[in-house]
Amino acid sequence: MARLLQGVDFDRYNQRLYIVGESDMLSLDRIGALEAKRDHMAEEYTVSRIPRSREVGQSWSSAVFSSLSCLFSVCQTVFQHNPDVVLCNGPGNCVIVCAVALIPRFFGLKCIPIVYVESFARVRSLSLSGKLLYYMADRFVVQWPGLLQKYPSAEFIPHLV
Amino acid sequence: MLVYVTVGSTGFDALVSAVCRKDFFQSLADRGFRKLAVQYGSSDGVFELPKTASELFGVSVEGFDYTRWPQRYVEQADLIICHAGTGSILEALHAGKPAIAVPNHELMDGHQSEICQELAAAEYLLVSEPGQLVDAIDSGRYLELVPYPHADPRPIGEILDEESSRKK
Repeated sequence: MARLLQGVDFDRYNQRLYIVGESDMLSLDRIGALEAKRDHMAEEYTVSRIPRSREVGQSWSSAVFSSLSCLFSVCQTVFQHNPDVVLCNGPGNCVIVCAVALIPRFFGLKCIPIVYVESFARVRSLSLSGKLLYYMADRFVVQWPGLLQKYPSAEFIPHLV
Repeated sequence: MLVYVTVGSTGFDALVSAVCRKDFFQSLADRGFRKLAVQYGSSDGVFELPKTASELFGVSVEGFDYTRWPQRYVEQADLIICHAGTGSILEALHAGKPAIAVPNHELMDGHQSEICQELAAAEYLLVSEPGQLVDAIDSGRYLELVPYPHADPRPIGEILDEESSRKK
């Protein structure tokens, strides 16, 4: 994501909300490094850390509660910040974020466009997030041309990263 | 000349073991490498250098689990041997360094090797199993690789601009 964001105009998108998984410390570092390069006020960006819907090995019954907690957290964040566009690249919780971002559109209130960029590592098959978001995103970008055969509505753009 | 070996944020026992072997040191020395840095992550248990100095063939070794400044090693390296994670591969390629990617078959997904195969077919890097590293280095094929194209992520910005200004 940090590499993709090099192509985004931070003067135009002068308020940025980063949604990351709670346990993802590496992304926190990357966001800090990316934003530190900007000559701007720190208030331009927010990081929202979302709990995992289910930990590895967690029982399915307790996972119902943690999934609800995750969903609640995502709703709170998305509706509080009211984004104008969503850019995601496939980590675990992004499907929930995109589903929530579609709710205002469903009720005819606000259309928040969703732009999905599949991982560079996905040469021959989509990730699970990609398979779901192919049907939800407004723009779906892949980085290898072989994926267009099975996913003809996708856009192939080489050398993004 | 420096070889930088990196396993990324987890561990990779097979790779770390392979770069501790006497034959690996010999092939490094034969190709003119005098320094080896190994970022072994959680594979500290298998990071065991040969016991006798002669088995190092004059190569000095630095080993660590993680570093806050991997870029420093990438910049100084003359050859990078990395696990086949996208981030590590791209770092090496964009730094313009010869790279040998080693897929970790213990990891869940087989798709790690897909990206290696594509990039190797285009001759941007070499792919090797841990047991073939010595051959890969001896062959010198890492000196015949093609420069990797610069990244241009501006199309993503353009797509965001198009979508966010579309009348709904």
